[in-house]
Order: sequence, then C-alpha cells, then structure tokens
Amino acid sequence: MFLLSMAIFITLFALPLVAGFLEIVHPNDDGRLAVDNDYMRDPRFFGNSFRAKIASLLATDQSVPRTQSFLGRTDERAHVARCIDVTADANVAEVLLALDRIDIADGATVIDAFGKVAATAGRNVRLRTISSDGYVELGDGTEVERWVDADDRLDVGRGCNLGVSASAGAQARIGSGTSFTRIFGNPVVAIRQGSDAISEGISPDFSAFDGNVIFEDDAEIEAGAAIAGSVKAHRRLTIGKGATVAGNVIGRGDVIVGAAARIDGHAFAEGSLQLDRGARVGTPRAAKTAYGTTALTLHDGAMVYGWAITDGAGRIA
Amino acid sequence: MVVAFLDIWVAIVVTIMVIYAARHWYFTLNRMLMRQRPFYQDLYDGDLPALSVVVPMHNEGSVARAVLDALLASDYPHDRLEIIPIDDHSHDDTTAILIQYRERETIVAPVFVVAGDRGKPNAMNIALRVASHDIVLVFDADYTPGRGLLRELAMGFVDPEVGAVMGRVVPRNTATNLLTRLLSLERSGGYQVDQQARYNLDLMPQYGGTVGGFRRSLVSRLGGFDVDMLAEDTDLTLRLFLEGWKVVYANRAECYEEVPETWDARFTQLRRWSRGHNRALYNNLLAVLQSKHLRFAQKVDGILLLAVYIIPPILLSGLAANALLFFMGALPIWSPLALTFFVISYNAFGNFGPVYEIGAAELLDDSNERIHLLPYLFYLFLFNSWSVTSGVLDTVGDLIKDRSPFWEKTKRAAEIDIETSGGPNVPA
Repeated sequence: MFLLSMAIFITLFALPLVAGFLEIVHPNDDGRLAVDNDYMRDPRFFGNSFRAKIASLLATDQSVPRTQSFLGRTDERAHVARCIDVTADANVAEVLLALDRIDIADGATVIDAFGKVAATAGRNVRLRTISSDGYVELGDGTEVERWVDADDRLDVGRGCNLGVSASAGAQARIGSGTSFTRIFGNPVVAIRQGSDAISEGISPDFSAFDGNVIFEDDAEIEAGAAIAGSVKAHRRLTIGKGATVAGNVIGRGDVIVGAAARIDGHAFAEGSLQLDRGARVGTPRAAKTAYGTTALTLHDGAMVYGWAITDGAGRIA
Repeated sequence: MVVAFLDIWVAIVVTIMVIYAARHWYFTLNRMLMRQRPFYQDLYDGDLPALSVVVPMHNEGSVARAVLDALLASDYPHDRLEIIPIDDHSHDDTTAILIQYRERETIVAPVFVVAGDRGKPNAMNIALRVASHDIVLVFDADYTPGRGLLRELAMGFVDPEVGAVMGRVVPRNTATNLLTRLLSLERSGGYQVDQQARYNLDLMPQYGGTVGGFRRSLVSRLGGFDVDMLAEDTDLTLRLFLEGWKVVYANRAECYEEVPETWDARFTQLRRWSRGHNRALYNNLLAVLQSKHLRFAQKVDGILLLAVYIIPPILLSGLAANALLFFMGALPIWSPLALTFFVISYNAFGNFGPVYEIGAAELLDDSNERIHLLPYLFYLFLFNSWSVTSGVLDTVGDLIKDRSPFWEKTKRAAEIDIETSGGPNVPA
C-alpha cells in the first residue's frame, strides 16, 4: 500500500514536468525572441524598398519594351517599357515598370505601377501599389490596396483609399473623402476641390503661457492662445481656433485641433485626433507627426509637415 | 498566546498572497483583453533632440566593443549624439578599448574613473555632470541596442510629463541552459505583461536602469543617484513619481541582454536586486503613502512594487508558522486555515499567478513549445526565495549597522569561462 501510494505521489508530482523535460532534452523552442536590430523607422520604407528591388530591372543598357520574370515570383511577370499607357477598364496582370512615365486610364486594374518620371492614375483605378521617382497623381475614387510613394509631389483626388501607406518627398495633397492609415509628406495637405490652405486670421495674443501646460481632466486651450511649451491633457483636449503651440500636443483621450491652430511639434492622441480647417502640425523646417490612435481626421486645408498616422480610421473630411 | 499569534500571522500572509495573486490576474487580463495604450515610437521627428548615451563599464572588455559598435551603427543623427562609456575602475582591457574608440570616433567620449567610489550609482552621477545633453539614455555593457532603438526611446520625451523612459529587455543567450530558458520566461512575463499593463493602467511602470533614459536636469534637481543604493533604478522611479513625473514603458523598444548562465551568478544578481530594492522600500514607503501626486491606485501599485522582494521571506515565514502550528497540535492538516494558505500560495506563486502571466506573455510573443517549461518555474521560485531572502537579511544588516552596500557586478558568461579555463580573456 505504501509503495503504491508513493508511486501515485511521484507520478502525479512528475506529470506536469514531463512535457518540459522533453523540451529540455529535445529543444524545439529555445531560440531567443526575435528582435530586428536593423529595424529603422522610415516613413517611405515601402517605396524605398521597392526601388532597391527593381533597380536592376530599370538598367538603361537593356532593351525595351520587354517582359521578364519579376523578383523571382512564379506567378507574376514584369513589363518594362519607356512609356506605358494603360487603357480604360483594362485589367493588367503584369507589374508595369516605365523608364519615363506611366499613365493609367479610368477604371483600369493594375498590380504594381512604377514610372520613373511620373505615375498617374485616372478615376476609379484599382492598384496594389503605385510609385514614381517623380510625381504621382491619383484620380477620384482610386483604390490602392497596399501603398503609394512619390519622390516628388503626390496628388490624390476625392474618395480614394490609400492602403496602408502613402508617402511623398514633397507635398502630398489629399482630396476629401479619402481614407488612409498613414501619409507622409512635406506637408500633407487636406484639400477640398477648389480650395487651398486656410487662414482664419485670429490674432495669437489672447493669452500666453511660457512653459508646458498639463491638465488632469478635459481641457480647452482658448482661441488665439500662444503656448511656448507643450500641452498635455489626461482626457479630452481641444486646441482653440488660431491657437499656437510651440511644443507638442498630447492627449490621453480625443484631441481636436481647431481651425487655423498651429502646432510646431507633434500632435498625439490616445483617442481620436481631428485637425480642423487650416490647422497645421509641424513646420517646413522640421517634420513632425499627427497621430490619432483610434482615428485621424483632416479637414479642408489641414496640413501636417511630416507624418499623419492612425491605427484606426484615417479620413480626409 | 503563541498559537493565536501564529494563527494571526498565517492569516496576514494569506491576505498578502491574495493581494499579489489578484495583481497578477489583473495585469494579465488587462494585457490580454483590454485596449493597449500606445507608446510614442510611431512619431517621426525631423528635429530629434540631442542625446547623451551612457554605458557604465567595470571590467567589460569582453562586451565593450559590441555595445559601442551597436551604438555607433544607430540611425540616430551623429551630430545629435554623444556616447559616454564610463570606465569604472576596470583592471582588464576595457580602458584600452575605450581609448581606441575615443581616438577613432569623435562622438565617443569615455570617462575613466580610477579613484573614489565604485558602482553604477556613482557612475551615473558622473554622467549627470559630464553629459552635454538633457536627455540621457543608459545601456549596460552587455546590451546590444538595435539601429533604431535610440530614436524610439528618445520619442518618449515628447511628453512633457515624462521623466524617464523604459524599453523592453530580451535575453540574448536563451538557449544556453535551463536557467537561461527560465529567466527568459521570467523576463517575458515581467515586460510583455507586467510593465505594459502598468503602463496601460497609468500605474507605475518601472525605470530599469538600462534600455531606458531620463531627463538629466530633472534627475540632477532631485539630487542625483544615491551611491548607497544598489537599486538606483527603482529609487529613481519612486522619486520621479513622488515629484509628479511619469515613467513610460516602450514595449516595442526591445534590446538584447545577457542573462546569468550560472546559478551562482543568478544568486548574486538577485540578492543584490533584493538588497537594493528593499532599501528603496525603506527609503520611499512612507513618502508613497503620503504623496499628494499619486492616485490611490498608483499608491497601491507602488507599495506592491516596493514590497515584492520581501514577499518570499514572508511566504516562507507563513510556511514555518503553519509547520509550527501543526507540530504544536494546533493545526489539523485539513484545517480551513492551512488549506486556504496552501491554495492561496499556490495561486499566488504557483501555477495560477505568475505562471498565467508568463504563459500569456509567451502567447503574445508567439512562442509555443517553451511554455512546457512553466511548471519548472516553481523550482526557480524556490531558488529565488533563497537569494531574495538573503538580500532581505543584507538590507536589515545594512540598516542596523548603517553600512554602505558593496556593488557586486553580475558576472558575464565570458568571465565565467575565463574562471573555468583559468586563462585570460583577449578580445579580438
């Protein structure tokens, strides 16, 4: 009886250790957690990475036009030509690489499009990616599944979808009704057809603060106020019309930046972030970020010098 | 009378265990089910702040090159960066290595400490004096920061309330042996769940003294680092919160470190942490209770954080009290008190507390097979209890005798190899 009891005890005691013992003897999962030590934040990562991959395909010593395998993929081929025109409503199954420019007419469907000088897409075009060493123009209603990148300016019409990333080396003008996750530009400007950046003409001298301003609750910076430091609120934060903040704006809740308000630093909201008409984040001298965790809305003429990002829904109102 | 006292003590221990078990559950559920608070690493800044990166070194010849090369490979603009290795009384080839780097790299400005106090707090006080910039990041010498890490950590300081930033520590030598594998599990639970949950809940994420940084002007204003403090990081965390500042945690700012590979080295490390942490408890407990800057939840978290290194001896004392009661005939083996004690202990430090937390962390880290090792953590806990209790006794001795503790560096694997082989270490 004693021996039986001991056997049962030892068995029950050892049972939880058996699987671990096997893992110790024959390790299947003993590697260190993966940390990418080469990772660096690059707002134009997709475009830069793509350019590096296609550089050899665009070498000028090769004859064009030609069609060849694309980056070792078995299911996709690349068509390389000097200029490429995609006709309306065409459905192109090849990656299109133009040594000069690529123009895609209304309603076409394309996988990847690259134009060294320019890349343009008409209305209601569907793309996986589109990029250029020059400028990129997207017509109304164009849908990008993954990303857009332009070395120069990026012009986006109304009601587009910009996928996971849109970036430009120069100005990115984004039409109303467009949805996005992240846009980088110098600056990013929300545009309603026929309008441009807006100045509300409010004098920034109603009140002034020398340093940082921190609120424990809901807070509102009055219209026209000038703050030399940063502003943080632990709940909802509203920056009044025409107010100026030399530092950063940080909100633990939703943040609204009023019309024509200027924030020289970052605007960061743990809730949603809204930039009203003509509001500005960042300066021409220093790119900054407008970050709304749950949503980011840019109204007409709102401008971000740098990066406009959200983990939720991005929208040009 | 004795029986009554022991009964009361066991009841107190059970209460403490319940509180810690609830804490583990709360943090894990928050991490698994609730909305996660973002850090500032997604901010892109075309005008990054100037940084001073400090690397305290005492006989770090085996790792000095790796950490300096990693820092020099950073994408942080070099015109906004200075690297200050502090050679703290080294008697290996650390000094020669630092001289080489100083001559080769203009942004490396080593400081050679050859007299006076030794230890990290003293090295950090020197850094406060010599650093040129207000934001100071700190790495231990066995760390290898990735190319984008400095930028990610620096972004935390865009928040005007932030006094210190802490990144995530990831063991590099996980595969070495059972100890390193178990320590890897511990680290995952501590950072992936514990620190992130504290950050989510706006409690007290801890500045860990490495893979992190602070505002130099602020720390100087607070009086710098206490040279008698072995846990200068915990002490700084408390002092920042007590002054109304915040510590923020960057879960994605990950950096490899080397965890102890021998039980001796682990014992020494944990004993030092316990000794320092308990000194921080002694120094700050009253201030936490009386603070006007801390919310009630932060006070509770602060007290539980400060007390974490006295829990093992308290639990052991509860076990001893139970044994005494049993042998005095005052505790039938099936008494409700004894059962509650063992069940709660099991929940707090056995399978249901930290093990759930660590299992959740491994799930979040997308690790699979290593969770089979979770039951072995119970034995690591027994070992930890021994070293932590030694640290508690050290603290008591320090306070009674008013003595200053001696900083005993955790031995690197390379140093242990040298001792084993009896040969010198000559880095390439």
